[in-house]
Amino acid sequence: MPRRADPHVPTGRESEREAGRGAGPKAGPPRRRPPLAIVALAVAAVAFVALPLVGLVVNAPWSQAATQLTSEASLVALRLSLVVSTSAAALALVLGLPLAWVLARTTFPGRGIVRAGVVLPLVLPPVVGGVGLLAALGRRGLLGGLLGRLGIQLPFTTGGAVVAAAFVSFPLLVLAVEAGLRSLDPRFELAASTMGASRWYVWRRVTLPLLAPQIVAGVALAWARALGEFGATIMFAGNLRGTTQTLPLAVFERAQTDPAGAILLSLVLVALSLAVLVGLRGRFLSTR
Amino acid sequence: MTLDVDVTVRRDGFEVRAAFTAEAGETIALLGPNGAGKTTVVAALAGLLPPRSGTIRLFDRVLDDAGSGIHVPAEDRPVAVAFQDLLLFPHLSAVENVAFPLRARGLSRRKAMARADRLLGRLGVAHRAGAKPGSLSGGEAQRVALARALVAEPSLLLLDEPMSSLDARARGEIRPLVRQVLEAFPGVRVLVTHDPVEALTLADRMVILAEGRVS
Repeated sequence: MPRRADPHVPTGRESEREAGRGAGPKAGPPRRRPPLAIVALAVAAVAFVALPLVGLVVNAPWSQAATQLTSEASLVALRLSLVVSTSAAALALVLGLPLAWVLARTTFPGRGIVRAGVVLPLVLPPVVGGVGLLAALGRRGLLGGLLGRLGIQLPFTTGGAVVAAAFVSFPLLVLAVEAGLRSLDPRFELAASTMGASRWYVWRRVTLPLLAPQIVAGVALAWARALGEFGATIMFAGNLRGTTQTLPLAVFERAQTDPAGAILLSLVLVALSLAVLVGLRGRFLSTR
Repeated sequence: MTLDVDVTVRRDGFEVRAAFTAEAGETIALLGPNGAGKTTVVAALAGLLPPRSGTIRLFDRVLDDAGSGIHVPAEDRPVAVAFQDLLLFPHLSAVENVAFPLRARGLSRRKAMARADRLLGRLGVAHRAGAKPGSLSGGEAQRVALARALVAEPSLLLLDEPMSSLDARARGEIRPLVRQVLEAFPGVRVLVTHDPVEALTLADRMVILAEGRVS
């Protein structure tokens, strides 16, 4: 078992079986009827989450679905969204994996501050992130001159949309991978080093494979977050059709002139997000 | 002396002193109750824990000399450990686990797998070569762990409580095998155990570790 506590923590199935021996088919202490007020509020909460989705499905102009969704504009936005969020997830992986390792495996003064700073994009209003990216990487930003001399222009380019999406999504990957590294049994890596494996070999052949589920989960979460990115993108990269207008931006623009079309595009985003969620639930985020 | 140990090792504020020697072809039992620091001594011999003071020499090579700052890291030592909790890599099959020390030292995959396969055969688990550690029985897993410790032909073989993870029946089955492995191993053999009977039946000589001291 790769996880430190596993051998001692009973699996859900065992604890169910044990509890089942005591009191009837339903596990645990004797159940009382839950208070009505709580049930009512819980139902309200489910409705709160579900109603907007129901609204989308009910109000969607299904008769136009085929033509609308296969229109040039929709396909361009969809393709761009997939390119941008996949590139952003890849960028998040390249930047986030080493950072997660440093945060999990080293101690240095100010580590707490670094971790807080890394998580900040998660709670920061994305539009503020966009303004910050302009101030840092824009033509007149901190690094604007340097980037310009290298011939790199980010604002109002697809590259800028990727940077904006990566900025808001990479903390998710860092957190997922760091948690994975912390729960990894360090004795596997020590054992490997007694078998003549260099640090790099241990990392490649032991650590990474044992960490794979957390890395996949982190990449998927980052990808989904990047897919929905709006504020930082529109601020830093603008809303240029075919270049930076990803699906969320296209939804926003279309909602002003063609609400029905906006609903159809929204449903595409719902479907993509659901696909990620289902993929993760089955393999990585199961509650066991 | 082939193996010459005289060190003080500290772990979690707990200090262990170990001083003993061993010859090639001889099995030394490090005997002590749980909590006496046996695992700490194993870690020091394996190179996972630099000693606070003292020296470890193996075949005229200085592995540790705290006084002059010499510490050969674990991956460069001709030392192999069969760990108490086995620590078979869960993502690799049995034969890949055994091939790991050879692959880590740069042997080609084909040659490493062939040698690992032969060794699994010698230890009677060739039929489980493709199985993941999670599906091995206790006895099978112990055989695989022994094979992994032997495969790279180390100069010092450390067996850390090789029977402790087994039930009584598997223990009876593995004990003769451990004995056979120890007898066939040409280098220095150190058996770490809390069980005096095990030490008596498997080792030529006993070193007692009590209250953090070996004498």
